[in-house]
Amino acid sequence: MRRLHRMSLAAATFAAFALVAVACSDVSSSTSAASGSGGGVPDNSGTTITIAVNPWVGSEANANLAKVLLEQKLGYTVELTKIDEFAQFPSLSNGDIDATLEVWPSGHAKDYKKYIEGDNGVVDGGQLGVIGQIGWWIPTYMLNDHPELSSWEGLKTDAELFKTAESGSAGQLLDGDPSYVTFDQAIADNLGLNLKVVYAGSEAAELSALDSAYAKQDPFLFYFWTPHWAQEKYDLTMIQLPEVTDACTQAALDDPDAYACAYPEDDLYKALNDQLQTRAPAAFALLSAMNYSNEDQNSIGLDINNKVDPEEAAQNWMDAHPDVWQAWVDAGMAAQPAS
Amino acid sequence: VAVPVREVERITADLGPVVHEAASAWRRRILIAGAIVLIGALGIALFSGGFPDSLTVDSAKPFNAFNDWVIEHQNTNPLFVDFLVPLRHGVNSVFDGLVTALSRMTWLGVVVAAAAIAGVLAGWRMAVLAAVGFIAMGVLGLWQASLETLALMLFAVTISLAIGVPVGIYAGRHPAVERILRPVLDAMQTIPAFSYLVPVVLLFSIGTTPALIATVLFALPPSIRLTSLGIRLVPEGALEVGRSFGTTSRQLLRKIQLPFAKPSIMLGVNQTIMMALGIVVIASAVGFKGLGREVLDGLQNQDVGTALAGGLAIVALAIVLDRVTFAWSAHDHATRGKSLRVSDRVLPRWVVWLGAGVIVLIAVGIGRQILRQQDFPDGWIVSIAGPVNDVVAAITRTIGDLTGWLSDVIIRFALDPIRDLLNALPWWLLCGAAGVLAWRVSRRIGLGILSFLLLAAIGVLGMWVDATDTLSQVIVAVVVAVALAIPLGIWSARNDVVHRIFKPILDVMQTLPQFVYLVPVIALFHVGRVPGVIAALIYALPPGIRLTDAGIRQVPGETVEAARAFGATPNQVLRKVQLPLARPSILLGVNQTIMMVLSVVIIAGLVGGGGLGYRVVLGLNHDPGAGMVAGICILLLAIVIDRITQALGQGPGMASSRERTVGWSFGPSRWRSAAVQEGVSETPTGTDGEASTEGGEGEA
Repeated sequence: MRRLHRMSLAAATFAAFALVAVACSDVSSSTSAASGSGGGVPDNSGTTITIAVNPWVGSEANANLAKVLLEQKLGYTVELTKIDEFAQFPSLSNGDIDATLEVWPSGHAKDYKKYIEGDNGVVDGGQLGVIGQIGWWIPTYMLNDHPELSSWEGLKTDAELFKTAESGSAGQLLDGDPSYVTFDQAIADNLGLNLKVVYAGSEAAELSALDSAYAKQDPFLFYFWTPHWAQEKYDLTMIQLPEVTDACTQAALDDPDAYACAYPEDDLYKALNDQLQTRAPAAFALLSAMNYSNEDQNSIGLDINNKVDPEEAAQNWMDAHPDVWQAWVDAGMAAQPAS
Repeated sequence: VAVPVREVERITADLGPVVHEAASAWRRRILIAGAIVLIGALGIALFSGGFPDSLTVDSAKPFNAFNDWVIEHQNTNPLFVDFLVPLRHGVNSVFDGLVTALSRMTWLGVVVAAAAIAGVLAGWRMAVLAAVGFIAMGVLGLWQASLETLALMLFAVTISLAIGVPVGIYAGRHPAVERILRPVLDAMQTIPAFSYLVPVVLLFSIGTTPALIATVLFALPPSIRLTSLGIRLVPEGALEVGRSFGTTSRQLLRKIQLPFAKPSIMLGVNQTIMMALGIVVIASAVGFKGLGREVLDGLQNQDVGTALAGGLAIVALAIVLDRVTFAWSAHDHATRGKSLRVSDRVLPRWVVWLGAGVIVLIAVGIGRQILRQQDFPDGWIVSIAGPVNDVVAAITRTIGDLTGWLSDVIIRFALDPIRDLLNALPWWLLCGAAGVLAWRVSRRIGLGILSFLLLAAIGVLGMWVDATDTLSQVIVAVVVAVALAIPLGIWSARNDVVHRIFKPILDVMQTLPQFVYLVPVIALFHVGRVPGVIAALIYALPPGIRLTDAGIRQVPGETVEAARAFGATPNQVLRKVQLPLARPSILLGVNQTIMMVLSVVIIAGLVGGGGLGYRVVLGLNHDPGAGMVAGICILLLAIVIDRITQALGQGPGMASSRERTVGWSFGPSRWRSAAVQEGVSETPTGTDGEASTEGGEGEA
């Protein structure tokens, strides 16, 4: 067994060498990147801000814009984490994530109550400025032959148009990422529509299905939302669902299976970890002040969709709209503690 | 070749009953099939199908309540404040430290270190392989992601071995402990990798910590099992010799048991590493970064090029790790030091290590001081994503209609009818059928009752519809996989050229994590149930092919010769002699095929596969209760399927040891370990049964 001993000794020596090599050599390659260049940018590089990126392009646009601003103007280190809109709340609450910039209130009444009102580690970061609307959409060409489809009542007779292999005898209502907020199956069931929700798997998959249906002018019914760059690329119509009632608002909170009306208009808001304000006051102030329009977001989103690097897309928008973001940076600078 | 007459007579006497039995068995089977169809039809006609709501319980509720409790108390309860939160921070900082250390070594340092370690452990060929593999990850533009994956894996493997080897030693020396551990390990190895993620997410939320813990848990069983096996298989004689010299128990362990068990323990290291890699890749679903994230993002964004690049990097890493650790265990065993012979002298190990250390040190120095490149140089990166996506787009344009049509056909004529049938049958009939089947094949009423109860439990837990969906996918994939694997296996058994061509292909196939199989399939079939089914059946092909091949090759030459002497055509030899005698091995292959299919069908939940896997995905995202229940149901389904198919393979003379299928749900090494254990289980301590090589004689 002496051999074994000597082997482990040698292995330990080897490991020690490797460590020494790493520790001793003092090349500054790792420290040089973060220092930035004067211009009144505070040095917050020791503080890392983690921002959630939800699996849709609007969220990616917000997060990358915030990243570029926090890094360039306030000197923070920013990390983006891909996570879905439900899973992000526990992470926001325990501090794994510092900020999410686009919560759609219609689907998160429960989370708002539990985490923000319940004071469980998350604070409301204010409005994003973007107004969203979730709904059921069809390509507008479908109205030529089926004008009744502008309202949900048309689906009572026309559900069969949307039959696919995946939906069997019911009509297919194509949803996107399984993690998205949706009451779709409940709405269909409660309105007595013969529709079956089928998940495309992701926003990209849903869009590619839309694209191929659109090219063939096939019938196509899907869960979608605005603002979205695809609304400009394709001519789409939202089907009128029954108006939002108090009962529905209550159902969203207590009993999602009882939901039976349209999605309300969503005034998107930001949610932040409750420790962020003390840990990184300037970042907290900038993110709280961040507020822009549907058009602004779409312009970044369209770039991202055209395979522009997301940070570059954010930069492009920043170059064109200093009037919009300067105020956010000012708010951040005002909150920056003097060092 | 002349066969002695007496020998021929003996062998034909052996074969007689086999051939005769086969004929009457067919008649009986047709009758039984008829009865099953009749009962099924009656069941559908007279009773309502599916599982009644009245018998289900809201099983997700307690888990969701627990989840809520976690959230409300994570900032106050000592369990979290004093234990879980520090644990999470600790894990994060160790992981970050590892990644930082690896990055600071610079890419050149890491490549040289990988090559040096591989070289010292397993010879210069492996050094070259390791260097090429690591450079490939850099060329693919995934250096950073690869380091993350590697760091988590090293971390997890270290912990797994630190727990697994001592526990294995203890279990190996105490049969009582072994008996208690065995069913636990059985269950752990029956759970598809993916299901490990839900409970850890429930406790540790998402990120590096749950990924680490899931990986450790998943990779633990093989190291315990193989260590304990190695200890148990130490020849009694060697122990006696030790005792007669008056060794203490401790000396006995160190001087005799451990050295004897070393090959088995090293195999455990290889398996632990490969299983860890498999789950580290899947852990991207719980927020871990690394290579898995690239694949998952690619899959979800319909960006096949990105997914493929990630997949190739995983392949490179998997092949390097597998080959190096496997070569290490073989090399260390057989040719220790040979490659490092200098003139006549064999260099001592420590000198070799020291030399390797100096080389690595120099490489790190060059990387930091001269090249000044921490990351892999941009100029060397070959971005394959764009070109691959162009190719995929071209393929989709040309054969997109065909694959779309094929996909529709599979859904309309296979998946849906089977699922509808399963749902139309009353639950008790389906569970009962499984129970009777289990009872008949195992001849143990207990297993029958257990199967009935476990399947019924799935209904009670409220996952009946999801389970039938999953089951329909498993059935379709298994039928196709078996229909492909057995003929390919036969072909390979009868043709040495084919055998030699298959071998490296199958080796590589068995090295790849399940996740990788989804990539090319998604390119052709987009999302939904069909890509999952197709990926699953491809993933599950190798064991079927190999075990069919091995089973036929194991048939004693004289038996075949005897049949030939009686003028049997090659076809008859195959049908009447080789296949019947290879049956246990083929059925073991079927068992592995089914379990592997199940694990991929579950993972396909990530790409729209539906069923229980999809519920797990949802659970990871935002419905932890249902995810947890789905995970439990997957376990129940897996146990039932596994036990029934294992019992099928357990004809007389067929070893029953669960250990033949160590690590069925991932990896290459499964085949090897099965082979190794088949080889070694014929010992005084191997009480489980005879090795399957004896199967032929045993049957007669």
